[in-house]
Amino acid sequence: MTSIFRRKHISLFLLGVTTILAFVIIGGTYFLLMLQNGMLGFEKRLGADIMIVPSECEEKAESILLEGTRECFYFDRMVLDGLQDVEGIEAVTEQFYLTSLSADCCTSQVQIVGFSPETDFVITPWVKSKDRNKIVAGKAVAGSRILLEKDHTVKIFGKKYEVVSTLAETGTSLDTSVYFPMDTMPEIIENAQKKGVDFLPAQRDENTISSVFIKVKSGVDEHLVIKDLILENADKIDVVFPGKMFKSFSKNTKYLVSSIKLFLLVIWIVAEVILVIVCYLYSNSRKKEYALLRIQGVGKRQLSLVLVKQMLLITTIGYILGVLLTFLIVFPFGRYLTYCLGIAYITPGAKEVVILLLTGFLALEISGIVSAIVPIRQIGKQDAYTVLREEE
Amino acid sequence: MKNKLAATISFIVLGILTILGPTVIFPVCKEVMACTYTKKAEIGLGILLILIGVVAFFFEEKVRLGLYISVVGIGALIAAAPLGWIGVCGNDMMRCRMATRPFLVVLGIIIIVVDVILIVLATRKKVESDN
Repeated sequence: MTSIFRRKHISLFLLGVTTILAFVIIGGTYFLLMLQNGMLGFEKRLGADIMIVPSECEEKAESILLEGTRECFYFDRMVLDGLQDVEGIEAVTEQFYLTSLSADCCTSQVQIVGFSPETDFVITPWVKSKDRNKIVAGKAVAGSRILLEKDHTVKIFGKKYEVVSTLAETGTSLDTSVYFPMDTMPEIIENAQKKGVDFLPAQRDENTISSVFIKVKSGVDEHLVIKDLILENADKIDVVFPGKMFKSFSKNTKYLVSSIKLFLLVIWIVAEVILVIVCYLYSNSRKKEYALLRIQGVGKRQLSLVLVKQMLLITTIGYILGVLLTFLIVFPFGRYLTYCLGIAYITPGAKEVVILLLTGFLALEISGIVSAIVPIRQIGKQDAYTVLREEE
Repeated sequence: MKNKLAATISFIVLGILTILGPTVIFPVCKEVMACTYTKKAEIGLGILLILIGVVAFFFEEKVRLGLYISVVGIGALIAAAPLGWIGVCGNDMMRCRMATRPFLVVLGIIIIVVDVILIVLATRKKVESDN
């Protein structure tokens, strides 16, 4: 069993290859899962068909939705007037954005979003139905990445607000936002001013909002529905179509995911070929030894088993080292990498990670067994006496 | 001599990484927040690690072993600073939390692992020379 370790260089080389293979398979798949989960979470939570934002804020709105950046922009709520009565529109709701400070006054820096629980269809559907009635002035709904105080509250500008519900992770800015009913916003701004925070006049004005979300009836063309609104307010508003944005986002993400899958496959094939070649060369260098063992009565089956066991041992140690590398590099920095790429991501859950680790282990062991097949066949074909005579 | 040089170089490199981590590689927030204090502590610990690396080179085996043992504590502090000891910003989307913190924790673990290997090597050598 330990014979392979006597050949230090070969065993170290095999160990290096299997470690890299384990790292690439597990780390790469973990990264893939983050992207795919992020894409699914984002798609589920799109909610609105049309998002109306102030003029020249289209890019900011897109980066809010896709990259989780913190942007504040405002326009008059007059835009809302008459929208509800437009034919083809099913629901209209508005939101107001405000950014808190990351200081002693607040639990952490968060995007504060004011919304109207009565008309909302973007956030409320994701709040448990039993908690929906509890969303009243002075209460909050928190995104999944908001750190709550021990008493299930969030501290904003010195005041604690009870958190009615925490939303599921989406991989977008929704996760780092705290949602308050619109009625609470003046109080938050007042508290902030007491803490010495300066606001723009638009932020203090109760008639300003940041965005309008529109849901159109099924089968209705989104462009036709808001044609009149755009014509009337061409210089005041910009229109974002989250659905279309998602299509282009998912196209890019799918392209990235396919490239990573191809990369993983290529790495696996290359590593497998290297393992087979090294294993073949190793067994070839011990041809004479094997022949002597066979003359002494050791069966082909036993010899094959020894070779398989050696490869399994190497791949298991390689797997452990690969997993350690993944824990040191991919698990801690995976989120930062996807954040730098500007892609919505969701960290895989414990169950997914366990399945990934088990699958990775199986894949590595299969690779080890496959690489031992060629030398085993060679042992099977060789005649012990001929080999010994060749060596003489 | 080989181990002594390897230890000095390792400590200097790891000390420089400890200083560069929160300042250049993954800089912490510009505003004064918890991560700012973590950065200050890490700079101090990094300088200490470099100093130990340099000093250890000029001293005999026994003193060196003592210095190596003290580095375990420094590694633990480097990892603990961005966690519970001092901390970083609370927001999950901030770089200090997403990148600086895991970087320093991983670096702390690496320092401890490297240091334990050096301690084992030094102890083994000492036992051999005593025999």
